[in-house]
Amino acid sequence: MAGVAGPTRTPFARVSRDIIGALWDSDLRYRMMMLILLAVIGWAGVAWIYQIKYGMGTAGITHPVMWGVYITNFVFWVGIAHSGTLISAILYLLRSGWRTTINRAAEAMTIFAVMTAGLFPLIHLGRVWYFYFLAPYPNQRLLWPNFRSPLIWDFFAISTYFTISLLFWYSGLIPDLATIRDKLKGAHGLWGRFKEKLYGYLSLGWAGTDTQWRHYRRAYLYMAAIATPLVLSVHSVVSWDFAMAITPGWHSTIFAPYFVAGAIFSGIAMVITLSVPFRWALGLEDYITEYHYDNMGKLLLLTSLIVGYAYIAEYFMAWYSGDPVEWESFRWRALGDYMGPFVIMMTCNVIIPLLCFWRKIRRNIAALFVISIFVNIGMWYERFVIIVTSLAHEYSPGAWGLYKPSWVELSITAGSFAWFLFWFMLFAKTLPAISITEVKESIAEGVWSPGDKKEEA
Amino acid sequence: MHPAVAERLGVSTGDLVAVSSPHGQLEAPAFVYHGVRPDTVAIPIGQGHEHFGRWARGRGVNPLALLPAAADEASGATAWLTTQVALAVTGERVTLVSTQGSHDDLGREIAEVVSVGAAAEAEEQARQAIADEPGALVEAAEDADPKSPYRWGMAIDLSSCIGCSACVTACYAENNIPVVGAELCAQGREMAWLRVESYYEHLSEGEHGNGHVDAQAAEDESAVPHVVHLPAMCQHCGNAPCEPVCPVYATYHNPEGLNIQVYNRCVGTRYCSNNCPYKARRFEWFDYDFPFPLNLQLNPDVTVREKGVMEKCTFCVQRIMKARNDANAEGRDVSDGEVTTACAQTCPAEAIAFGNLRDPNSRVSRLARAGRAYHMLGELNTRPAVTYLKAVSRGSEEG
Repeated sequence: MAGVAGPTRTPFARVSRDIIGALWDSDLRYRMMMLILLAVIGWAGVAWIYQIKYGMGTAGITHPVMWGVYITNFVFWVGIAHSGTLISAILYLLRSGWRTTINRAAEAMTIFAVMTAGLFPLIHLGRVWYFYFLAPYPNQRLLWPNFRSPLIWDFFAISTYFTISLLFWYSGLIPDLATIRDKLKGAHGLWGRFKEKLYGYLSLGWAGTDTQWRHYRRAYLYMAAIATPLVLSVHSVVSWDFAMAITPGWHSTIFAPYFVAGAIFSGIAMVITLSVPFRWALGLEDYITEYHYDNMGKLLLLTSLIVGYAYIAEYFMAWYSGDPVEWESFRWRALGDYMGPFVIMMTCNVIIPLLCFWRKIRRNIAALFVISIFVNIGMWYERFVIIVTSLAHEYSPGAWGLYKPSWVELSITAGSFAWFLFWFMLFAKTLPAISITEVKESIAEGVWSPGDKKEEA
Repeated sequence: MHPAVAERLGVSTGDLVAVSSPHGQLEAPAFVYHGVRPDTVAIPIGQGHEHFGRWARGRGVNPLALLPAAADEASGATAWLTTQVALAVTGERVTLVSTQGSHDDLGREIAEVVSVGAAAEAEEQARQAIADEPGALVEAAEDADPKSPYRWGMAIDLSSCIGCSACVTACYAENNIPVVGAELCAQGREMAWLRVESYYEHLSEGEHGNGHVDAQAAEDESAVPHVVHLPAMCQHCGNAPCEPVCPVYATYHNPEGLNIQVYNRCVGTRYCSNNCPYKARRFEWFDYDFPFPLNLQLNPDVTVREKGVMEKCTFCVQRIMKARNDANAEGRDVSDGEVTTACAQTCPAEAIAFGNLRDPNSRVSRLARAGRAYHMLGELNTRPAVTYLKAVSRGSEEG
């Protein structure tokens, strides 16, 4: 594929130009935004150091609610990480053409979300300086971690997911990196030559020969097939952190499918929330169109219905089981001290997404953007409700208690959003945010081409 | 004060109430409580000191200020019970700290009560069973290494417990438990390994689904529920929910059936506490100070824990170790009564018995086979080493 730029007026050339053109040049707005994000991350770092120095008591968690906002954030970010692999791997295997413009951003989101989620198990440790006790490393005391503990399963599930997602993302990037390298050929100045070298190394000598393409397509397909079960397994394992405990409100067989659906639900919502400002800022409106939002709206609706069903099924089982402890836990969840979060969760996750039944709303990007923000809020509260209300109201009424997050927890939560956005914004300016290769394939196959809104679809 | 009185005055827990008698006046925060007669207010004695220096200043009130100087004619003693007082609302509020979430056990097999008749019948059957099989062991005795001569256990008679909390104090002193103060207790950060919970005897009837005592309508003012005191600590379960969830084996089952917490190994995920149905585990939220001279009373046999680790009742493992070492040195097993926990040693009513469940003749084994014996939340199949003996109801028909 020597000379990708080729004839400048073909649609292929336009794709390269549009997508690569969005890179590197950062305006004042972008720099200010990055500065603000760095400031928030810095403040969260201060809060964490403060917590390490003075103890977990600086956070609001207490007896009996020993897990609070930190684990809520952990589950929330792992959930966000799910849409990436779903869109990339599962939709790839299903040959869904509409994924091509959002898969790169969604995969990047996955990786940054896992990077964010992975911090919280550390942040919530009472003695974070001994975090390596959780890893099965050889030591002279012959001590191993406890493989019966769901937290160890988490350790493996998350690290596996991160590795596979990273490799999958990177292998998808290789042809695009080569396109950029070719575009940069003969760049001037120290910075230009550095960029050329860097993208050259990262594209691993890609030359676009037929053999390379054949191997590449095979490898990508297999990686998609390997990544697919992980979409189901990772959040199932995270849900077992709760389902394996005997705590009423947690101990439930529905948790794995319920969490997986919730993860995809929140992940799709986050893709919508991020892609709307992102396509506008990078001038990629022609690439992510109503057609794509329509499809994402459908996925959002489907997963919302599954999540809503799970909420109802949980209540039905609590009542039908005849277990007074379980029933009291669920009654209190809806009507007790945490009624507010419960109502937010129900409204945002079950009622508001029903609007997606209307095609007009699904194709109205502003409306879908607002809905997706509600879903993000609702899914955060869902995890909060599950974790906090179950722990606060357990078997022993004498040990019931309440939990209120402290400034340390809120700062670190804000910092996690800033950390995630920081990486995402860095990505948007350094790597092609839309897969150049796959968009071109879509054009060639006649599935879709830039600017096409598929009104009649 | 009783909820009916509180309702008449329009006060709730924490409202400052002025109490006056012909002899004096004081102000104290109201604590609304079913366990007191509706025509009575109760004020604990022993607080309100004026001459004990800075630590005692501003703590509580001295109800002696309300009493007449002369002795009560009928009893010849100070008029503790016969002084009449008037109550007035002051409109101010203070934060009252309570370490108990709810006083209603919702019929959950926590604070069990039996009638006298049922208790007598059960005890008769149990005596018969012991006579038939004198060497039989209780089920909890199985949960230790088969080669171990010991399975440490405890039996607590709720009928004997008077709720004085001497056991709690003994536990604090023995195990170097930090005293954290009212502010942290209000956040739920009390560090007590052993707590005395109080539950109303009757409230569980027909009141499922309502966890809050203050919502209980005091329909019948004369109905004063009896209170059952329940010393609750780590149950040293044979099938402990805390053990499998720890990712680093910081909590595990030792060969003598104890549920052991290894402070050095604990990283502080706090999962064990979340999975403990008894909520017996405490977490070191901070590094707590023992300022001079309190450091001098620390027990040298017990670790002072650092921030970020989980801790809980150990059955005074340091005493067990010492007794076992002494016995081993003499080539014999630890005999009954040779080792006891700080709480059992201190209990003035001898409500707590500690010993070896593998010795069928030990006091704890005999009590564990009593007719009133039950396990707290036994339906969870945690196989606790602590056996409770149901309180015998002072009511008429409670079964």
